[in-house]
Amino acid sequence: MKIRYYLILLIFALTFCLQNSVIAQNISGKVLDMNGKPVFGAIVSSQHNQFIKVETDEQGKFEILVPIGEKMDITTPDKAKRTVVAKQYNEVKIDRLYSLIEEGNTLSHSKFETTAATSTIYSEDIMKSSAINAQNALYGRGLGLTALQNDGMEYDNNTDFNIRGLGSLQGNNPMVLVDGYERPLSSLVKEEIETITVLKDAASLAMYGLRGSNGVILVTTKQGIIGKTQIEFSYDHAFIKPLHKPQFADAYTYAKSVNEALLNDGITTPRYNANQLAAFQSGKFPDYYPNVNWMDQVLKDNASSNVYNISIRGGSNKVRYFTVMNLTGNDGLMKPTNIVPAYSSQFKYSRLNIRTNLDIQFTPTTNMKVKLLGSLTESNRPGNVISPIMTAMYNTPAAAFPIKTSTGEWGGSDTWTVNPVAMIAAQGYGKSDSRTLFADWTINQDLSIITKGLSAQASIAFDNYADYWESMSQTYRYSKNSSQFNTAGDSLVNPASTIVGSNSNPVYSSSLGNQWQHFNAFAKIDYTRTWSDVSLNSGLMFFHDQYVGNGQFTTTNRQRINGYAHVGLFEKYFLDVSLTGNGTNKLQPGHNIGIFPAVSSAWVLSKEDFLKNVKAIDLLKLRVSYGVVGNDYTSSADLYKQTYGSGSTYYFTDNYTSVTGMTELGLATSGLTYEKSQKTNIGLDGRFWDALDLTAEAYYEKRTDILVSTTGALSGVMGATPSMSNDGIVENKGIEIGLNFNQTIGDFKYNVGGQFTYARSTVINENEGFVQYDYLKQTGKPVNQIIGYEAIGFFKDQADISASPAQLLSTVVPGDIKFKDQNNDGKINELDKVALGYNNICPEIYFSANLNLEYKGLGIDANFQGVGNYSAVLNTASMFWPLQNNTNISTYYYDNRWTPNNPNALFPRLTTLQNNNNFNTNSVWVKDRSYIKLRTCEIYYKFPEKLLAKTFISKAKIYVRGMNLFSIDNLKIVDPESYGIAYPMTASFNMGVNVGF
Amino acid sequence: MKTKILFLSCLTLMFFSCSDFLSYDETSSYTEDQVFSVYSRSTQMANNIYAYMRSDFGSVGNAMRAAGCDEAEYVWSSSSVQNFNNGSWSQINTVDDVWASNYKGIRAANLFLEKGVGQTFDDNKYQSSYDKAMLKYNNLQYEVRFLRAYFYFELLKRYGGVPLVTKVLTEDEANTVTRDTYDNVSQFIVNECDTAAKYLPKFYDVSYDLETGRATRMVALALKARVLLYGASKLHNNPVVTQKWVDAARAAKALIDSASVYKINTFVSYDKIPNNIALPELIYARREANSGTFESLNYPIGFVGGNSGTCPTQNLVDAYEVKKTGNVLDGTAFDWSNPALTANPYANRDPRLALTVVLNNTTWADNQVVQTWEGGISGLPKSGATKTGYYLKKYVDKTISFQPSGTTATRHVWVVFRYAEVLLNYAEAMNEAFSSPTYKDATFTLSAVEAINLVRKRSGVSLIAIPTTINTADFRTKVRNERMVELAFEDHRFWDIRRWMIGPQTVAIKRTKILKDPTTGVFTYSTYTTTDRIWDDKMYYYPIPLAEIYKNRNLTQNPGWE
Repeated sequence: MKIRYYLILLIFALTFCLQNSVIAQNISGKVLDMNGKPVFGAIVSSQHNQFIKVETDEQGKFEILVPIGEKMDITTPDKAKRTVVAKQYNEVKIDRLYSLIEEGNTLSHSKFETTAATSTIYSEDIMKSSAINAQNALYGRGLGLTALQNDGMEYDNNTDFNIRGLGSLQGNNPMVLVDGYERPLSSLVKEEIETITVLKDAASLAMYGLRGSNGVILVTTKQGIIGKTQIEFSYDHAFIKPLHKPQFADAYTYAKSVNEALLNDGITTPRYNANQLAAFQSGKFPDYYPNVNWMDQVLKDNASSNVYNISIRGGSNKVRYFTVMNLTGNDGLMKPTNIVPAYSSQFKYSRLNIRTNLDIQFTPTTNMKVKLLGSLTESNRPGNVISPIMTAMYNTPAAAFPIKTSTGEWGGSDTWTVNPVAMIAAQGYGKSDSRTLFADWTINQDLSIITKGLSAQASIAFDNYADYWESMSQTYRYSKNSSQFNTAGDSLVNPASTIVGSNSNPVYSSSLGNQWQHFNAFAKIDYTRTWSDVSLNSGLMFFHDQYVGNGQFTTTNRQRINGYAHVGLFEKYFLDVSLTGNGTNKLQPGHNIGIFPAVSSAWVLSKEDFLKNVKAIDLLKLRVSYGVVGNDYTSSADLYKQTYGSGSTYYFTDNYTSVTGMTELGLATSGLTYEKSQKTNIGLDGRFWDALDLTAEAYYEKRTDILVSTTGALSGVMGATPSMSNDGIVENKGIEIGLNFNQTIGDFKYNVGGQFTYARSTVINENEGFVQYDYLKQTGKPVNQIIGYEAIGFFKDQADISASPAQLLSTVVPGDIKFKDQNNDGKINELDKVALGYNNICPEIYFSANLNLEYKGLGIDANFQGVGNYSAVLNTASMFWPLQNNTNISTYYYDNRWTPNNPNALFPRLTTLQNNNNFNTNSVWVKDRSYIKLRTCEIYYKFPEKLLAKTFISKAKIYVRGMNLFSIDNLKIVDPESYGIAYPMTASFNMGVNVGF
Repeated sequence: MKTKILFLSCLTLMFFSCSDFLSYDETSSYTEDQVFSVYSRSTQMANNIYAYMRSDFGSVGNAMRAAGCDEAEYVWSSSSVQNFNNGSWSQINTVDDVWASNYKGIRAANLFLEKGVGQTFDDNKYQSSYDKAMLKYNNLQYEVRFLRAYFYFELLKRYGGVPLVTKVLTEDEANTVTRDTYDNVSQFIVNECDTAAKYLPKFYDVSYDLETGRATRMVALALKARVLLYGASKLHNNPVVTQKWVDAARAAKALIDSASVYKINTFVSYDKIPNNIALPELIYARREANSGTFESLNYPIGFVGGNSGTCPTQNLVDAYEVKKTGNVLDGTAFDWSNPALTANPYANRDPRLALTVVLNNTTWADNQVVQTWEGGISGLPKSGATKTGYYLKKYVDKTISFQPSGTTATRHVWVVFRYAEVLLNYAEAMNEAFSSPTYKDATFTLSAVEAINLVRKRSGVSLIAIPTTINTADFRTKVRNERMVELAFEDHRFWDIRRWMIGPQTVAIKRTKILKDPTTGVFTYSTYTTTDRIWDDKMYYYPIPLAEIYKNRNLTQNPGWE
C-alpha cells in the first residue's frame, strides 16, 4: 500500500494536534465513484485542521490522521465534495448527489448548497442515443427541457428547444452556451460533451441579464482527468429507414377521384373518359397514361450512417488533457442519384471534429485552460434544395406523366411542369463545405497572497464559422405527350409529343453561404471562504460579447457586470443574491442597460436535527427563488428611430428612366425597452434510501414589455406603418417532477426514472384590438392557441344545407363541412371561430421514462418520451388537402372521403377547387398531436474486466440499438412531430462497439 | 488590496469607456432633417408618391377587378376576387381593401406638403443649375396635390365620403377622425384639381428635363371631369340635380377644347393603347416595371407558363357590334338566335373584339393556336381552362416567353386617363344634362352624338356613326355600350355599374360552349347563362373594414354592411 503524505503538512498537523492534546490515530478508507470504481487523486482533509490533507492512490485508498467522530471532507478531482464523519474504516461513495452543478457564469455548487432550479444531463445518457446531431440526443433527458425533432434531415439544425413552455409571444428559444459561450450545439459531437445543464429559474438566469428569459442550456465539454491515459475507440453503424412514407392514389384512382371531384363541383364533363380510365388501369399506354408511384421512385428504403470516434483522456497534477477525433458520415434516402454518372446528387454528409481541452497548472496558484474545437463538414445535395423536391413528390399524381417516355425523354406536362425524379437526377448538385473554430483560453490566479479566498479569472473566446457552396446546375428537357382514343377505344389517334426546354450544359458556381465571428471576453474576481458555520462565495464579473454575422444588422454588442453572493449558514441555510447590469446595442443608447436582481434561498431540512438521524433521508431540501430576467429581442434594428429610407421605384422621361423614391419608414417606437420576465420558483430536492432521487418544481412567470405591433390599435387613416410597442404581457406557470431510482443488488443493477412537466401560458395582452366575442380572442388564451371553426359533421343533402345556418365562407354543397354557429346569428362567418385544441408550437405536457437493467454486464436500456396537450393542423397539400390546385390525393383521404354512401366519413367531399369552407383551420383538421415514442432502446454487453485483464483492452462494450422504433399517437399515418411536406422522419437500427485501452 | 482596487477600477473603466460599443449601429436610413434639407432626397420623397398610384394588372387576388363584374370571370376559385360575386364579401372578409394603402399615399403627400414645400436648399444656390432645379422642385407640390386628390378619388369611388385628412396626423388624431360627406370630398378633389391645373405645366419639356410621366395640367382636368361625372351619376345624384351633369360636361369640355393644344386628339390603332407611353391620346398612365407576371397570370393554360386568369365573358363579347356585308359596319348587336351569325360568331365584328379578347382557334403567343373548345389544350374540362370560352388579350403582351430557355419581361403601362374616355364622359354628361343627344350651344359646341362618334370613328375601328335621330334613352344605352367596349379592361365597367346602379342586371354571366367535330373539324358555338353571382344593393359601396371601425369608433359603416 502506497500512501502519499504531504510531509510538511503532516508536521504542521502533528504540531497542531499535539497542541490541542487530542490523541490522533490513523484511520483508513477508500473513495469510490458512482459506478463503484476507485477514485484516484481525491483529496481527503480534516475539517478541523486544514493542514491535514491526503490524496487517494490508484486504488482509491487513503490513510489519514483524523480522530474518529470528526468530520472530514473528500473532494474528487472533478470537484465533487462529500463530508463524512470519520470511522476506523471509511468506504466513501461519491455519486452525483455530491458533484458540483453548473449554474452558469462559471459558478457551481453542490446539490446540497445550490439555490437554483437546474437539471443536468450526463454524458452516459447522451451516449445512449446514436443521433449524429448532439441536439437529437436530448429527448426526454433534461427535466424542464422540451426537445422536439422537426424534420428527418438529422444533421440539419433541426431540434426545437423550449425551456418551460412558451413564456413569450415570439422568440421562445433558449440560449445555448458551450463552455460558457454562445455557440451552436450542433457543431459538437456527443462524445465531446460531459454534461448539459438546463438553467430554469431566476437564481441562475438573472445573471444572464438580457439573454436569460427563455432559459439557458449549458453545455460543458469533457476535461482531462488525473490518472493513467485512457484511450477509447468507438464505432457505430446505423441502418436507417424512412418512417411514414405517405401513400398516394394510383393513376386510376386519381383519375376517378378527379372526375368525382369535378362532378361534386358541378362540372358534368369528366376530365378522364372511360377509355382513359381503362388505360390507366391496364397500363397499356404508359407514355400517355402512366401510373407512377413517385414516392417509391424518389425515396429508397434504407440509408446509413457511420460514426468513428477516438478519444484520449488523462493527466497528472500539472497537465490534464482530453482530446477527441470524430468522423461522422451519413447517406440520405434519395433514390435516383446515379442516373447521370458524372456526379451524385445524394444527400451526403460528413464531418470531422477535432477537440483538444488542456488544463495546465503551471504554478501552484496559476491554472490555465485551453479548449479548441475545429470542425469541418461537407454536405452534398441535388441541384434543388429538399423542399421543392418533396413538394413535387407529394403533389405530382401517379397519372401525371411517366418518369421517362419510351423515347428516353423526361416526362412532363402543362399542369405538372416539374418531374420529381429529374429534379434529383438531372439538375446537378450542390455541395457545401463549412469550417468551424471554437477557441477559448482561461487563466485562473489564486490571490491568497492578497487575502485568503481571493482569486481572479480572465478568459477570451474566439469562434468563427463559414460555409461555402459550390454548385453545378443544369436544366433538363421534357416531353409533353398527348393523344386521343379512337371511337372503339382500343388504340390511340393523333399521339403527339412536344419537347419543352433543353438539356443545358452544366453551369458551375460557388458562393459564400454564411459566416460569422463571435468574440467574448470575461473577467471575474471571486472571494470564496468557509468559516466554521458560514460559507461565502461572492464576487464581481464582467462579460464582453461581440457577434458579427453576415450582412447588415447582424452585429450585436453586449456587455454585462454581475455582482453575486452565495452565503451558507450551518450548511443548512443558503441565500443567493445577485445583481446584474446588462447593456446591448439592440436598444436605444441611453435606454439600453437593464438591471436584473435575483434572490434565492435553500433550506436543507435533512440536516436539521429532527431529520438528521432519519436514515432513509439523505437529502431533503426546499428552494425558493425570485428574480427579474430580460430579453433584448427586437423585431428589427432601429425600432426607436423615425427613419426614412428607400421607397418604391417609378419611371419618368420618355426613356422610362427609373427613379427610386424615398419614404417614411415604420413609425418609431417610443420608449422601446427590453422584455422583462419575473420568475418565481419553488423547488424540492430529495434523495432517499441512497437510491431514489426526487426533484419537484413549481413556477410562475410573468413576462411584461413583450414587443407587439400596434396594428390592432392604430387606424389605417394614419397612413403609416404602425410601430411596435412593449405592450405584450404573458403569464406562464407549470410544474415539473423528476424521479429516478437507482439500485445495485449484487450483480444486478437497475435504474428506473421518469419525468413529467406541464407548462401553461396565458396571453394577458398582445394589442389584439377589438374582438367582438371572448371566444374569438387570442387574449386570455395560451400563446399560439389555435382558433378555427368547430365542425359538427358534413352536410347530408341540399335539405340539410337549407335547414342549417347560412355558411358564408363559400357556396356549400352536400359533403361540405358543417360548422357550429357560435354566436347564433344564423350565419357562419369569421365570427364563429373558437379555440380548437392547443397550440402547435410547443406541447404543454412533456414527459419521459427510462429503464436500465444490467446483469453481469448484459443490459437493456430504453427511453420513452411523450407529449400531451399539443395540436396538429393537418393541412398538408395532397395528403390532407387533396386535388385543389392540381395536387395529388392520398389513399388515406380517398378511403375516408365523404360520399353520399359514406356520410360519416373523416374528410369532406372531393373538390378540385380551393374551397374556403372546407380547407381552413377547423376541427376536421386540428388533431390531437400527443405521442409516446420509444426514442432509444438498446441491448448491450460489457465484457467482464476479469476476462479483459489478460489483454491490452481495459474495457469493451458491444450493443445493438434501435432509435425511434415506434410511436403511439393519434395521427397514425403521419409523424406527430413532423407531418408536413418534408424529408421523412427516420428510424434506425444501430450496431456499435466501444473499446477502451 | 491595491491590486484588487486596480482591478475593479479597470472593470469599471471598461464598461464606461465602451459606451460607443453599446451604441454601435448599422443603420443606413435617414432622419427627417437629413431628408428634407437635401434637394435630391426631398425630391425623392415626392417622386415616391407616384408609386402609390395603382394599376390593375391583377390587383385583386391576381385577378383584374373586371372579374368582379360582368366584364370577366377569373378562372381560379381561390382568388379573393370571387368574393365580390359569391356573397362572402363582408366588412370582415374584405376584398380589394385599399383603405390603408391610399391613406399611406395621402400621408406621404401631406408630409411633403408640410415639410418639403418652401425648402430653398441654400447650399445649392451657387450651382448653375439652381434655378432650373428649383423650378422643378416648386412644381412638385402641385404634382403631389394632384396625386393626393387622386388617392381621395380612389377612396371616394369605393367607400363614399371618407375622412378628409390634409395634414400629417398623430396617432390619437388618426384614431378619432370622422367621415366627410361624399360631396365634400368630391368638392375637395375638384378644388385641388383646379389649383393643380393652374400651376402644372402642359408638357414636361426641356425646362423640366423632359421628365414626362409626371402630372400635367390635363391630368388634373381629366380627374376633375371624371369626379364630376361620378358625382352627377345616379348613385350620388339623388334627387337629381341637373346642374351636376352640366358641370361634368363643362369639365370634360375644357379638355376637349384644348385637345389640340395638348396634342391628345389623335387616335391610333386600338391595339396600340396598352403598354404604350407614346400613345397620342394618353393623358396619364401608371408606369410599371418590366415584368411578365401579368402574362403568366393570363396566358391560357396549355401555353408554356400560362395559368389562365381573367377571362372575358360572353356578356362583354356580345357588346361588340356586327357588320353586315362589305366594309361598312352597320352597328347592330349580335343576335344568338340568328344561325347565320352563330355559325361564325367572331367574323365581321367590331375590330376591337379581336384586339381585346383571345378567340377560339386563333393564333396567339408563341404562334400557338388557342384551343378553347371542349377537349382542346386550353379548353374544358381541363383544370384551369376558361369557363367562358375566352381569354384576355388586352394588356397581355404576347411577346413574353416562358420557355425554359429564358423568360422575358416587358414594360407594362396602365392607362389611367385617355382622350376617348373624356369624349365618352362628355357624351354621357351632355345627354343627361340636356336630355338630348344632339344639344349644342355656344359653350357646349359639341353634341353628345358628335362626341361619341369621334370615338367610334377612331383609326381602324370606323364604326358607323350614331345617327342624330337617336333619342335620349337609346343614346344612354349606346353610350353605356360604347364605354363597355372602348374602355374594356381599363377598370371602368366595375365602377360604371355602381354609379349607374345597374348591379342586378349584371349578375347573369353568359358563357360559350364550343364543340369541335373530331372528323370535320367544324366548330359549333352555343351559349348558356349562369346566375350564381350574388348582388346586393349594399355593394354599390365597399364596406369599411370592420377592424378600422373598431380602432376608430367615430367612423360609421356604409349602409347594409353594419
